[in-house]
Formats: sequence, structure tokens, C-alpha cells
Amino acid sequence: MRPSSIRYYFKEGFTSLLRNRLMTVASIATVAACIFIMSFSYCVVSNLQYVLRQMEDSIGIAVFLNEELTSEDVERISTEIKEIPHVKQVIYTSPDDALKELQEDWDMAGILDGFSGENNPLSSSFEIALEGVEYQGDVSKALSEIEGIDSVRDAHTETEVLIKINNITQVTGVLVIIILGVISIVIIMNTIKISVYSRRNEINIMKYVGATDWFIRWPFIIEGMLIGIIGSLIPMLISWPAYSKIIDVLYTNLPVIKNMVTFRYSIDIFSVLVPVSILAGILLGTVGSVTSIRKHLKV
Amino acid sequence: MIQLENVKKVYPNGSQALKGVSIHIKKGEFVFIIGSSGSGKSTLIKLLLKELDPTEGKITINGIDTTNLARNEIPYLRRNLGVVFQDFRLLPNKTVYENVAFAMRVIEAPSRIIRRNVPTVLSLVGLQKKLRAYPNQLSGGEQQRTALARAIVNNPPILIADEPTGNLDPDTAWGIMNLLEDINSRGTTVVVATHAKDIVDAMQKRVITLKKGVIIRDVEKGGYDNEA
Repeated sequence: MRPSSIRYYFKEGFTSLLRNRLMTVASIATVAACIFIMSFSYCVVSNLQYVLRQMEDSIGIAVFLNEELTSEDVERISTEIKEIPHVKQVIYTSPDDALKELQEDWDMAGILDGFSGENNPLSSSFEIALEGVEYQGDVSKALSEIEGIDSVRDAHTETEVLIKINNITQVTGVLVIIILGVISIVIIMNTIKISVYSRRNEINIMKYVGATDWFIRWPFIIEGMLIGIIGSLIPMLISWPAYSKIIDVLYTNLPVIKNMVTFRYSIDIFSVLVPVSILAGILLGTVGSVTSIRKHLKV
Repeated sequence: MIQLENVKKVYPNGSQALKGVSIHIKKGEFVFIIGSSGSGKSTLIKLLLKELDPTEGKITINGIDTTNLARNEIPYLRRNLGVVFQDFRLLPNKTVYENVAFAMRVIEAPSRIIRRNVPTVLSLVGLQKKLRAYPNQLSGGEQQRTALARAIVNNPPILIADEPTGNLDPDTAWGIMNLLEDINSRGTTVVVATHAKDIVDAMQKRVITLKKGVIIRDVEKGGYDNEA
């Protein structure tokens, strides 16, 4: 490829964009709308998962031990629990610690005074953190088989709901992205088709004087890519500041939210989203124009 | 330079455009191909340009057997062939200079060579003063001269003209024919498909007459065959 040819491809690509201005604007707007919705779903899904992850972290399993176990027994149980796959962390709480916690939480220390020492009715327990909520069932089952464990308390209803929400958002996100991707490609195909049509005489002459197929194709591919790039930059320029603003407003007006969950920082989201969108734009533009060229440019 | 051996062309609708045509054209020849509409003239031109493939037979152009040519080799075959049409086929949004330069640009000629060759070839066809004119500012003859300049600017060994004077008045037509003869005298093989009886009679070149898909006459230094 000669540098002069590359200059020619870009010049022709740009010229063509300007020549079919209406179609160019329409297809850039469509790609922009699609990428905007894609990035919106990414923001929602990614935040939802981020929040769910926070909630999952707080969901653990509590096991209560039989009374009258020796400290060797407790040590053995602790080791056995740690050996169960997907157990992240195990925290031991002795009856004394449990009582202390209860006293602190309840703020009615007096009432519980009589239960200290020998009279403590609370049993030893383990707080078990998991690598993910989805392992709860398996881990609970394994725990119940360990000798010396009196009862296992998990949060399977909550877990199931969280897992369901997680799956639904993921599937919806992927579906939205696929559908919009297809729409963008179809629109770009249409634009390139019109572009090919409006330049059919030129293409004809190019063929007669012996231009290679690729020489004829490149300007159209570049036109498609430019539509994709511009169409992906616009939604990024809008949604980045918009996202920061929305998170800001949420935190300011609904302080209760901030105590419950935190949202992802805009830089974390957009450091992924910007390159992905631009790549998606280039990909959509290229796929759209190449498919269209194959269909309409009989070179 | 151009060889057709028993070339047959049957269109998908069953019509037989060429029924076994053999032609040998030597390097540097000037050949008229005449015949009424439906004689197979246009099909012949399209076969030479590899717009169509023959149903049977073999076509060789400048030593290249075009019959089984791979798709990606067709452009390189066409670089051997300059071509002009009855309707000129200039690009309306490009100037005379740009129209001619375009033919060099698309085969990726270096800019330096383009800047050197385009003015030379335009003065050869007598358009050195019209470089910046657009096609709609030109007369029919000037448009065809531009098309001729475009056809020869890459210096192809063969020039094919399909009814080059069909849209021109007699005087202008003669101008174009003289140019074709001039180009031929510089060594280019020229093939002209035409209806222009007067011109064919006057020029006394080789004339191949086609009728209903067969060659009915092929004479050196001939005139227009009234049977055509």
C-alpha cells in the first residue's frame, strides 16, 4: 500500500461521509444511540453486580458447636471447615466473646450479667465467609457432616434471590448488547449500500482501468469505521459526566444509600467502557461496511 | 496480441450471442468490428474486457489466457486494456485533469509520475487548455478526448473503443478517429466497434463483420460491409 493510496482512502472515506450527509448523520445517530444504551446497561449491570457482591460478602454461614467440646475439638473442627472448598475465612467466637458482643449490641448489660462464666447459655460458633454465595448449598452440606457441629444457619432464601438477580441482569445485559449490535450493523450496512450506489459510476471506471478489489473497498471500510468511531465517541462524551453527576445526586439526596451500598467510581466504569465502546464502534463499522460491500459491490 | 479461438457465448436465457468466433489480432493492428445490433459486437467487447466469461473457447490477451483467470488477477489483465465508450463515462464531479489522474491513482501510480504523465497525455489529445474544466463544461468531442486520454494514460498495449463516435457529429467523430489512428501509429493495438460506415470506408483498415454471432467477413483494408 502506497502512502498516497492511504491518503486517497481516507480522503474518499471522508468525502463520502460528507456527500451523503443525511445518511451519515442518521447512521452516526443510530450507532451513538445503540452504544449509549449499551453503555447505560453496562453501568447498571456493573453497579448491580458491584452492590450484589457487597451484599454477598455480608452473607456468610454461622455454625454453632455442641456444648462441652474441648479446645482440641474446636481446633479440629476449625481445620476441617477450612478444608472445605470455597471457604474464604473462618472466625471463631467463644461463648464469652458471644456474650460480650450481645452485651454491647443490646446496651442492657445489666440483664445479661448473670449469664457470665459457668452460666453462659451461648455456645461456641464459627462465622464462615464464602468465596461466593453460589457455594452456600455445598458448603452447608459439608458443614453438617462435621462431627461436633450442632446446627448450621445459612441464608439460602436471600442467596437464591441474589443469584437470580445476578443471572437475570447478566443475561439481559448480554441480550441488549447483541440486539443493539445487530441493529447498528444493519444501519451501517444501509449507509454503505447507499454510498456504494451513489459512487457506482466511479467504481465502474475503477474496474475498467484495473483497480484491485481492495483498492475499491478501502474507502468504504474507512467510511464505516469513521461512522463507528464518531458514533461511539458521542455517547461516551455524554454518559461519562452524566454518570458522575447521577451518582453525586444519589449520594447527596439519599444519604441512606451511601450507608447501605457504594456505587462504582466513574473512572472505574469508563476506563473500561471508553476503549470497549470505541473498539465496538470500529468493529460495528467495519463489519457493517464489509458485509455491505460484499453484497452490493460486485467488484 | 488478441486471440479468440472458437469462442461461444450463450446467455442464461438461452440466446446464443456468439456461435464459435475465432479472431487473431496482431500487435499494432487497427481493427474495426462492425455489425448491426444483435450481431454479437457488444458481447465480444465484454468478453475482451472480461466482464463476461465465454461459454466455450479460449481468449488470450497480451499472452494472458483469460479463460481461467482468478478473480484477483482480472485487474492486472485490465491494465493491458484501455477502454472508451459511446457515453464517455467521465466523473462529473472531477475536472478533466482529475478524471485522467484518477485512472493512474487507482492503479497506485506514484504521484510524481501522475503529475508528469497527465499533462502530457492531455496535450496529446489537444486538451492542454482544458485541464481545470468539468465534463459539463466540455463539448461531446472534448469529453470523448478526455475519455481517450484516460484510456491511454497508463500506456496499455491495447485500446478498445465501443462505438466511440456514436454520440458525436461527423466532424467531431473524424477528430476522434484521427486520434485513434495517431495512438495506433505509436504502437498501440486498437480495436473499434462501430456503426460509422463513412469512417470505416474511408480509413481502409482491417474490418471484421459479425452477423448473428458469426464472422461473415474479415478483410484487410476493407470498407463497410453492407450486409452488416
